[in-house]
Parts: sequence; C-alpha cells; structure tokens
Amino acid sequence: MTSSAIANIDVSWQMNGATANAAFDLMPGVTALIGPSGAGKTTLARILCGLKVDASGSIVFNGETLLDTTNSPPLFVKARNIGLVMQDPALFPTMTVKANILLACALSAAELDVILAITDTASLLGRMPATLSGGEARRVAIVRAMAARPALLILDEPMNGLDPKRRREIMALVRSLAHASDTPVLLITHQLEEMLFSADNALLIEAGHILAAGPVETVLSATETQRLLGIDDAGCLLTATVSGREDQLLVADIGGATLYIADDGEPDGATLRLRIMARDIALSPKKLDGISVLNQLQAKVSGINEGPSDVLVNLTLAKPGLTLQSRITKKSCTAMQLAKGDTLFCLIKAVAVKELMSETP
Amino acid sequence: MLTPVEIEALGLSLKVALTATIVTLPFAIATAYWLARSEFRGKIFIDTLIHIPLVVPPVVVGYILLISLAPTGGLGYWLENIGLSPAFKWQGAAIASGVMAFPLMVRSIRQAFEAESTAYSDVALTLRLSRWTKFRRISLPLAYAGILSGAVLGFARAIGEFGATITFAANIPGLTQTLPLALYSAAQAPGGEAAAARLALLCLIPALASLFASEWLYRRTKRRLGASS
Repeated sequence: MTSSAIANIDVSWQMNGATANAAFDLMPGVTALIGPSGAGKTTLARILCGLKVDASGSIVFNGETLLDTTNSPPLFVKARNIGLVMQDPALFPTMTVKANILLACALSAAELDVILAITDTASLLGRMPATLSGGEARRVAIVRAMAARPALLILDEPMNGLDPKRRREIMALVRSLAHASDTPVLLITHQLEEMLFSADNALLIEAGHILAAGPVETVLSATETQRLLGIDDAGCLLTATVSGREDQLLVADIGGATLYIADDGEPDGATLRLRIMARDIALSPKKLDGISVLNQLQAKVSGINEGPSDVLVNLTLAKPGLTLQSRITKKSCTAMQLAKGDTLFCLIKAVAVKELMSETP
Repeated sequence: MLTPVEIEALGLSLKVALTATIVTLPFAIATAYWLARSEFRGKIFIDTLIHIPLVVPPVVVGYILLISLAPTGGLGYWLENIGLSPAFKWQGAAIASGVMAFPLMVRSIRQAFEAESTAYSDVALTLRLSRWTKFRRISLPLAYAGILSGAVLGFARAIGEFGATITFAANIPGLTQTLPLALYSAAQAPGGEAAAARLALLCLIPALASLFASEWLYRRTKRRLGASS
C-alpha cells in the first residue's frame, strides 16, 4: 500500500464462470474506475459498499478492515459508511427533494448550504422527484449521498443518459464536491471524457481485473486503455497554470514553457488540464516565423513507433521535461530523416489545445 | 326510505366492517412486509396458513373461532372472565370478518411491497437508515396504493361476510345481524322477497362507495407522485 493511499483493496468474485480479482490502492481525490460495459465496475462498487456479499479478499479503508474473509465476517453496509449514487438516482418518490436530502443528513446547516450551492440544488428543495429533469435528479442524488457524510462516495455512471451540457455540469460538480468536502470519490464510467474531465487518478478494469492504475496521464497512455476504450489517436495530458493574457489568448505555463490557448475566461492562477492530440502536433526541424501556429515548443525525439499507415513520434519537451506525441505520415518521417535524439520544434495551434478542466486557486 | 331493520343492519354492517378493517390492517401490513422481505425456512407453511380462510368454507373458519373463543374454550373462558368474550356479539362478527378479510389484505399489500425497486433498499442501506426508518419513510408510503387497495378489498370482504359470522356470532337482530344476515333472514321468511331485494341493493351501496373512494384516492396519489412512481 502506497503511503498516500486511503484504501487497500484486493477482492475476488465469480464473474461469467471465471474468478475475477481486483487489487488496487485507492488514492484521495477523484478516482475514475473506467472500463468497457460488463467489465465488473458496478459489481466492484457493490462489493466495496457491502451490497454484494459473495466476494472474498480484503478491503482496508482508512486503517479499518471492512472485509477480511480469511479472519472475520465482513462489516455490514451501514458500518462501512460508503455512499453510493447509482445510474438510477432512486430518489424516494413520495417525499420532496428536501426530505430526500434530510433523511440521512449528518451535516450542519452551513455545510449543507455549501453543498447545495455547489450543486445548485437549493431551488429544487420544494419539488417532488417526479418533476425533476434527469440532470437535476442526479444532482439531488449526489447531494443526498454527500449529506450522509460518507467516508467514500461511489458514483456509478452518474452521467449516463444526460445530454453533453448536463454531463459537463455533473463532471465539474463531482470534482468541486470532492475537493470542497475532502471526500474521496470513486467515479465509475466507461467514457474517456468523464475520466479526463473529472479524475485525478484512474483504474482501468476489464473482466474484473485492474489492468492499469495511477494518475490519469499514466492510465491514459497505457496501451490497454487505448485498446479497451477504442481511443482512435494518441494524445497527451498537460497540467498548466494561467499566467496571463495576450492578444485575447490565455498564456498557460506548463512548468517553464509557455502555451497560448483559447481564452475561456479562466482567471490568472487557475490550474488547467489540457489535452493535445497527436494528430494536432506538426514537427519542424527549426523554429518558423511568419506562420499562424503560435506554439512552437522545442523537444527531443525519444521514440519512433511505426504503424501500418503512419508514425507516432514520442517527444520530450526541452524545458519542463514533459512528453508529447505527434502523429505524422511515413513520407514526412522519411523526408525529415527522423531519428531518436533529434531536436525538433512541435508546432501546436492554440485552437487545437483542448481545455478539459480548470480549478481556480 | 329505509326501514328500522334495514337501518340497523346497515349501521351494524358498517361498524363491523370498519372495525374489522381498521384492526386487521396493521397486522396485514406487518405480515405482508415480513413475507415480502424475509426468506426463512417454513415460509411456505406460514404463507399457506395465512391463506387458509380463502380456500376453506367460511363456516369452517367460524367454527374454529367458535371452539377457540367461545366461553367454554380456553382462551374464550379467560376472555369471558374479564368480560371480553366476543362470541355472539358484534365484536365476534368483526373478528370473523377480519379473519376472512386478512388473507386478501395481505396478498394485495404484499404485492405492493414486492414491487418496490431494490434500488431504494440499496440506497437506504448506503444512507445508513434504520430498518424502521426505511419502512416508515420509504416502503410504507411507496406501498400506499397497495395498502389502500388491500384495505378496500378487506372492507368489501368484511361487509359481505356471511358464513363465518353466522357460525361464530349468530344471527341476532340488532346485535350481530349484519346486512347479509338480514338478507338471509328476509329471504327465508314467507313474503320477504321485497325486503330481500331492498337489502341486496343496500349491500351494494357501501361496496360501491368504498371502491369509488379507493379509485379516487389512488388517482390522487398517482398525480401527486408523478408518472415515474
């Protein structure tokens, strides 16, 4: 168990006639449990909560043993204090939103007000669940679960069936709530976008086995992730800090180097998560003047992977030591006579840098 | 206009049926919840026992009540000593009606509890609600329509009860003669056809009124909860 982990989990269960085994450490913040449909995500969540009891192994959470099938009976659901929001918000239909939230509320009025403000649900308190939209119902279900002050909150595909705008709202909300309340969140999803927008760490699961674990950047670059999630192009994640504005563009510091990106109104000092796809990075042997591409970052070729139709070039930025990937044609690779160790300039259009999330200081 | 005998029989029928329904309902709710939520050895036996009044002739139920609760019996002797013997009294008619209505009420209410989504139980557990809170705040309100339906069925069964009542409480005008018993007496009496027809019509009134009230309350609840419920 790593020193910063809050939970150590090693559980096994029967799944489609085979034994599934998920072993991983859970870190603070938002962790995405990502995998294709039928990978065992929901089953694992139910094992963690104690709702599925025919599992073996051990779960140690914050130093407390929730499950240790070799030595003691498992703790009951209520003793585990793990909140669960399922795909079906399951708001109790005979009571108002307020009654739903207050039913198991363990927060002070001030604490609850903070959560209501973050989730923008205060105006819904007097409504009956049947009158809520899908997004509103999900938000209320999350507030209800948070109000019980869980030690860990599991969100099982809370964005399923929502339109893109509502998905973005919930994704931002998950992160804000987790950080504002200091509650670790396990976000179950099969959508790459949800992992990239919301999570600090990720666990890739297939057939009940954890194939990759670690920071989102690490899991994203794992070949299993690209295969399982059908990622059509490589790309990289960068963490940047807004350092100012120039000619209606944001100036983002990525640890010594500067990136110009589209201005979405983020304040100075805000931390951004940026994604740059390999296909959006062109390569040049020298810095070019008089072209439209604003970002020209010096980098060293650290690897060249030839595919059937093109080449994926791995690059290490000279200043911050970050890695980028560029997808170019074989013809370009041959013409440039690329070799490992070459120094190049990565040409990145400002509008090609996608801002996934931002956090104000 | 109703004759004094008819008014008396109607009043007694309503008193007996309402008492039977109100007293039996909590037991029916508890039994239905227990059967819907629990798995245990012998459940099928308990289930069968509860449904016996539905399949045996009502007169058998009345007879069992008579030998159990009559002043000569053990429990009946004790009840007689403390002045609560129900045999041949309107309370006896209410007990007979309640026993006959019980399985119908349990069936209807149990279906409502069983229809509750397991997601609510999962949420209640992860919210760390006590069993009592979960029952009182979630399951009971969700089963409202089923409970209402069970109560109405029970009331209708109680108001039409004949066999068990006449066996256990007898057919004493003004004391235990409910509408069906009055109808039976009228039909047996020479020239009582007209009175019997009037009583038969009278039997319909509380039954129809209860069904109408039930439907109205059901629709009102459905509107309040919305289509999702």
